[in-house]
Amino acid sequence: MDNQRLVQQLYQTFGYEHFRQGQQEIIEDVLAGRDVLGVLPTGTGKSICYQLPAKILPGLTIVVSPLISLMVDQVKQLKASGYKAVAALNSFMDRKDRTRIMENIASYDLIYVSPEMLQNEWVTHYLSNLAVDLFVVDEAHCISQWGHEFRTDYLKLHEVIRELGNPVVLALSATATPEVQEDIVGKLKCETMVRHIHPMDKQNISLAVEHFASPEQKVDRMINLLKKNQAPTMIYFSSRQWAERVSNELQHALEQRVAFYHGGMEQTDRMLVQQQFMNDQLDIICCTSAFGMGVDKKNIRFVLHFHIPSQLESFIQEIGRAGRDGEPCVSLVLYSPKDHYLPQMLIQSELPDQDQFLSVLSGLERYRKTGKSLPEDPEVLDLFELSESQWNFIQYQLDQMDVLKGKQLIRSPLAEDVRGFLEKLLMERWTYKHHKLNEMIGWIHCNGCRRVALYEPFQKGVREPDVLCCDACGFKIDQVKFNETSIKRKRDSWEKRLADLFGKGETS
Amino acid sequence: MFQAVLLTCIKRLSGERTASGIFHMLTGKRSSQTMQDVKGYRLEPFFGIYKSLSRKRFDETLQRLTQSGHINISDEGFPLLTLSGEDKEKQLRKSWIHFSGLKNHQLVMTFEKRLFLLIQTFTNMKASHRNFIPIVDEPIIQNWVRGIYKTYQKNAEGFIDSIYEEMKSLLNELPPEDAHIFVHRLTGSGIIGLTMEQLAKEAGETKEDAYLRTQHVLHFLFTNAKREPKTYAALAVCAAGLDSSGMITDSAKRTFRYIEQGLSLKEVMEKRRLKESTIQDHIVEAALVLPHFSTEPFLTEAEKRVIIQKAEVLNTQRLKHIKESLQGKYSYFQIRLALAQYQHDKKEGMTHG
Ligand SMILES: [Zn+2]
Repeated sequence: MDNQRLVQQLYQTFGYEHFRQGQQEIIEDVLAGRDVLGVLPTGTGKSICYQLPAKILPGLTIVVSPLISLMVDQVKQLKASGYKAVAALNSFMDRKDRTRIMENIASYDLIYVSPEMLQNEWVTHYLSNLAVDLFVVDEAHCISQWGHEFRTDYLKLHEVIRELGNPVVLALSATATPEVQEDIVGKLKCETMVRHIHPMDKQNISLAVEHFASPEQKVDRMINLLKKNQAPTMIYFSSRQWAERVSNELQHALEQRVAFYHGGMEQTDRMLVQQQFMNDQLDIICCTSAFGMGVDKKNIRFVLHFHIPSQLESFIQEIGRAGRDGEPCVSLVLYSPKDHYLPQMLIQSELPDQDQFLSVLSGLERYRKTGKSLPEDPEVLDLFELSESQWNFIQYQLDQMDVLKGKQLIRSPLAEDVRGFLEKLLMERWTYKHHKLNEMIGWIHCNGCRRVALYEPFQKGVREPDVLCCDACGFKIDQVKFNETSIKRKRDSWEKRLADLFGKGETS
Repeated sequence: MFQAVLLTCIKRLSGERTASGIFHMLTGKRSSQTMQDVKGYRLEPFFGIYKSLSRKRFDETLQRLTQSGHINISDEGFPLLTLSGEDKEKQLRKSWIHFSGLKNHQLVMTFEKRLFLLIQTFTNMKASHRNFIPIVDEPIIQNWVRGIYKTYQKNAEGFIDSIYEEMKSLLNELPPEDAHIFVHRLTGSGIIGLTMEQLAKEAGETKEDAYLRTQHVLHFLFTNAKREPKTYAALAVCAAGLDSSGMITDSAKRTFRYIEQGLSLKEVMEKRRLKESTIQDHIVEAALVLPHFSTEPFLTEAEKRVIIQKAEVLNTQRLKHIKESLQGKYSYFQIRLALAQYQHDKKEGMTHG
């Protein structure tokens, strides 16, 4: 397909008149049948790289995506934009919805699948009977031990690719260090992958960090800043309680319309808040990392971090939500001395500690001795008091060492070699996670240019920014003046609101 | 609103039942005890009107009523109105008169989803916004709205105008606080509805009040659409097919009504002088065709899932196989019931899909 026809197709499908940086080269390679690794910064329309080919290719395109909420959002948005032949398959779905999709699978262009669904033989068997033209691994860094969101179920993807008859593979990530890039290519066993690596530094953002003695001072500072600036703003928290609490405080102190968003809310409320923000009915959103996956709001001016994430990769993704329209935007981290405790606790909940680990192995050993098979996963989690990711980690390793076959223990997990190896792995994982956190904290305390320091692990050097660079290079946040949203908070009568809803305009 | 409902429940129970009884009743638990209480103490309006009520919030609200001196809770845990509570109850009594919980709460749930998605769809189409994200996820509801849109496509504007006029005139008959909360919940052209949290702030009330106000309005709209389908023709479209008895035989219908009232299988047998197997047949029949049939008195959701999963794994509908491979844990009746409802859901999904 030539250049012009590709652009035409882009316009017809998505209404864009031209490609954004990096998209076209990747699409051309994919359509020419070449395996591709694409590293594109957040907010550059990564998903177009497979959504467009899916429309063009005659067969099915499968997208493996690790986050179910993201998957569901993307399907909704695609459908809303008129791209109808798309569906999502995940284990949280109603069985009957899943069956309906599987029975009509040939009628779709694009199917999003969560990785654990591909471990289901029924699903892979079904898929292997179809013509799959393109296999997309989204968030491909999940495949790497050195990636920040390692998922063991990604490690088996190369087997799935083979079972599907080796379709073209497209691996995509927004944050992959050179080390992780190597790992992706190796683990997918696609040595001939064409690489399209794009610089990640965001040229329209100014970076700043400020230090505070207490959370209360942070709140005061935000009130002071947001009183002077009226513009779409995201504030990140690492706990739900804090997001709610600060949201309430801001509501009282500011004119702006404020809401909170976190994973503990009801599905409908989550959707409403997200759409209100997209629809400019909200100015400020106090959220956890659960927000924003599928949100493509162009005019976010401030991304504030009330808490820091546990690694630079997450931070880069989160500030990537600002200024997607290319206009100037600002990132401010509000830091206080005890702030590293929260991410430390998070790491703890993700990995089993030494004692816990030994008691799990002894528990498993009892199953081997009695010859019983293990119960279903949810019960295992209860039994050993493990989180899902902890159990995934252990299960995968035991499977690799032929200790566990399905639900049956065939070798003692307490054997010296097994135990020793697992302990070593666990230590490595701990060290790795703490290293990532230290990297993040190191950045908070760095003295030189923040932009250079932020992108250093990912690429050589940074481009000249379009805005004032950072607080070390002369950027002063108090000189910023955004005045985007005009706030008119008046109370409508119900008659007026009803008339507006129905497009009735003026009423008596 | 929430306090008004609680006060009336407490009044009618006249200190003879615990607070838990009220909670089970509001959340629509179909045990025979609850059902008998509903009848015995005239609590029909409130049954099942707040399925998602949290126990914690319920307890907190009772505590607040105690602190403000409106109720006393006896040592045995039975709440009773004080004199000021009696006054308050009388004063607030009018606020909940349109609830028809026992009769309609499940139907209103479907009515709500249909109406909300229909308003969002039609108003967006009217404004030529083809790109909107539906606020209701369920495929069955989405397909229903799609069907209605096709039917009225030629006169879509007329249809949505009728919805507007009918709603406006009905809302005028309600307290303005109810109307205010309700319209702010709606999503339409260019306006996204508010969350319960935001509605509560809007009105300076609690989340529970906001929820009950929207439900109160929905019960009112639904009842009117059913009672006067000619006057409220467009709303009646949203309520169409939502009846507690569909296409089942009269005999099964009678059985179903008893079950709905919370009678046990044995009690129905005695009342109707029929064999156990016949009553079971009726129940299975109801599960096959009624959209909102609850199998709960006989089978919990979790048990139902276990049976259905087993049937899928074995890829069979043969009762004997399923029963054996579940180690005889479930009766034939329970297995039939699970499969019946599964078939019903599947069929619904297919014919609308
Ligand atoms: Zn700098």
